[in-house]
Amino acid sequence: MPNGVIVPTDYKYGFSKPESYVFKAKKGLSKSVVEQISSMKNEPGWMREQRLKALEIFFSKKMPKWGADLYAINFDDIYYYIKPIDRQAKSWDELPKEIRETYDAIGIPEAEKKFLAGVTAQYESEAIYHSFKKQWEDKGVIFLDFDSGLRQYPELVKQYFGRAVPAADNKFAALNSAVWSGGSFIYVPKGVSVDIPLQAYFRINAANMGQFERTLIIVDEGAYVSYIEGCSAPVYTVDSLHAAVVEIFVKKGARCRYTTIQNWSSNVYNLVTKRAFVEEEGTMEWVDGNIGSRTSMKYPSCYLVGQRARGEILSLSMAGYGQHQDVGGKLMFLAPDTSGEIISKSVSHSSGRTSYRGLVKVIKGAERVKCNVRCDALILDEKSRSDTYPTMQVGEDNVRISHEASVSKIDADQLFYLMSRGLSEIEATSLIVNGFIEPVVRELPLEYAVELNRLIQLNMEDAIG
Amino acid sequence: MIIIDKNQVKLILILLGSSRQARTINNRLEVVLAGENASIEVVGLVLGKGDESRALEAYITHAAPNTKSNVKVRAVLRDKSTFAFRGNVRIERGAKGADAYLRSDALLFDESKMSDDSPALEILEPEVKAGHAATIGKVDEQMLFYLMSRGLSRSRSEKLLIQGFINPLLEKLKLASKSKVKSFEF
Repeated sequence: MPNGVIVPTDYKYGFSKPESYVFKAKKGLSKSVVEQISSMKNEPGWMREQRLKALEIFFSKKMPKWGADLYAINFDDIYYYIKPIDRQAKSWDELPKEIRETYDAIGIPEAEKKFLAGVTAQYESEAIYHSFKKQWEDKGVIFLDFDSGLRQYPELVKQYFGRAVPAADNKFAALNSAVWSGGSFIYVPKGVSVDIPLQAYFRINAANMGQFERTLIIVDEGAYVSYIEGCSAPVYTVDSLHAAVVEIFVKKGARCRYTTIQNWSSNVYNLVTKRAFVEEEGTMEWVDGNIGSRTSMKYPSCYLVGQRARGEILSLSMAGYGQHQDVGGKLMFLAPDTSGEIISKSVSHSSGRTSYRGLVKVIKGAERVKCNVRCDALILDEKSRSDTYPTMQVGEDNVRISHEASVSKIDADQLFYLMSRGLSEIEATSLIVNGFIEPVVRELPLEYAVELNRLIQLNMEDAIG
Repeated sequence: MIIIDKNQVKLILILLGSSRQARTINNRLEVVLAGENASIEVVGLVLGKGDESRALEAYITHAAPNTKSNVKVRAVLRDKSTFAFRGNVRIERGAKGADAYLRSDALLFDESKMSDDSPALEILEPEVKAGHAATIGKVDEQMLFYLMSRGLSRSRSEKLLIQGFINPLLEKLKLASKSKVKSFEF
């Protein structure tokens, strides 16, 4: 294949629509680009300051020396801001036709009709479609795109912005802090339980375009929210960069679940920093699925700062031709009686590479911590690769930490059994793979689980067919 | 680097913690299973007390078919001692039928620390069996309770449990020192 651009010809969501942008910042990154973004958005002064400071940090930081290979990223060849339409559409019909068609193709309206209540659809760098059920607004739940959040609740945003993921955390967090646009802002007031998941769709749709969304979720005491983020990007021939930052604050006794299914096209670098601070008796659950992208580096983390806080990370990754999924999770036990679990399932096929990378850290004084890590990997063929890089740092003796991992291939007996019952090799393999990842998939909302099953079948056709 | 050739079977024993040794010891073990049916077993026993800081690194590479590796490390840490274990098992493409297992268990007491425990796997070949596991923690409170309910003191019960924890490895060490298998004592 030319230039190492790897796109299966039958890539299901591999369509792109003609670009119709109102504003496109010029390629490359500089102080003036950042200032331009900030003034386009009419931001308060402090945010502009933060952006410029973050830009300096970005320039001063080196690329990470560990993890996946990022050599091909050319920061000068990326658009850092594109604004698709002037104002936000209030209803579906108001959206431009092309954008509507794109969404129709991945089935948002159907999904919404059924049981999705709020949708923030991110097409390019701006949230363009926003609907929200009135009942939640009455309860005081805020669910906005980040720009609107900043405009309408500047104090709240200022209080939390960059507190979980400071710009200096890593090079890509700095990049995001400098050029972020779009993303979601969620605030759930004390004691409010949002029963239906809040949902956002993210897409990249311009060649060479970076997507730098920023998400901030604050779940106040005793509240509950589930947030779902799904990505499905069209195919382009030039490498794209996706560097998002997600910050979550789970207050006392609150619970938050954050679900991602990432299906970027296989030329996207997906480098995301996700972190949650969990206070006393709070629970944070990350459900993180990585199906697409050329290279992912993503380690959702829970900083368990309050007593009896709990963190769970369910990670699912799949790597095919030309892909490297370097994903996992991080649990930081910073208070007594905290507990956590990481379950990782990875599948590599068609010369893909999956790496689980995880950190479990217990500080001195965090007594009675319980933590269990389990990672299983499936390798489907001889050209593929699977790694496990777990790290445990335990500074407290009164703890219970365990880690377990296995690497296996598809069991020939199972395959034979299924095929003797009349299934084709592809069907049988998909069935086994679906069974293997089931512990993670069963935590997904139905429509995602269905889509995932289809995607796996599709991948298996590539792998075997 | 230790290279294990075809059909060779080797046992490497590592004992970190006898009183004769210097306080800070760093050990790095590199093994390449270079020939078919080569097999390596690494048994490591680590005892730490006082302010000792111990480290062990084990890098095993499976470069040939039907090779086997089994790394077992157990550590008992007391007082302010710390232990860091880094293990990496790599199975190269073509090393069909390789069988690798990497395991580390640590018992912590007092203010001891497992400063780093990274048992990594890099698998480039699907026709293999590979696994790793690690545990870090105190002695099991329930077992302790059981023993104490039978009239043993807390420290006596703890000692029994520690013995139970290290005995399987200790037996190997004893056995090996009598036989002709090469044993390394650091």
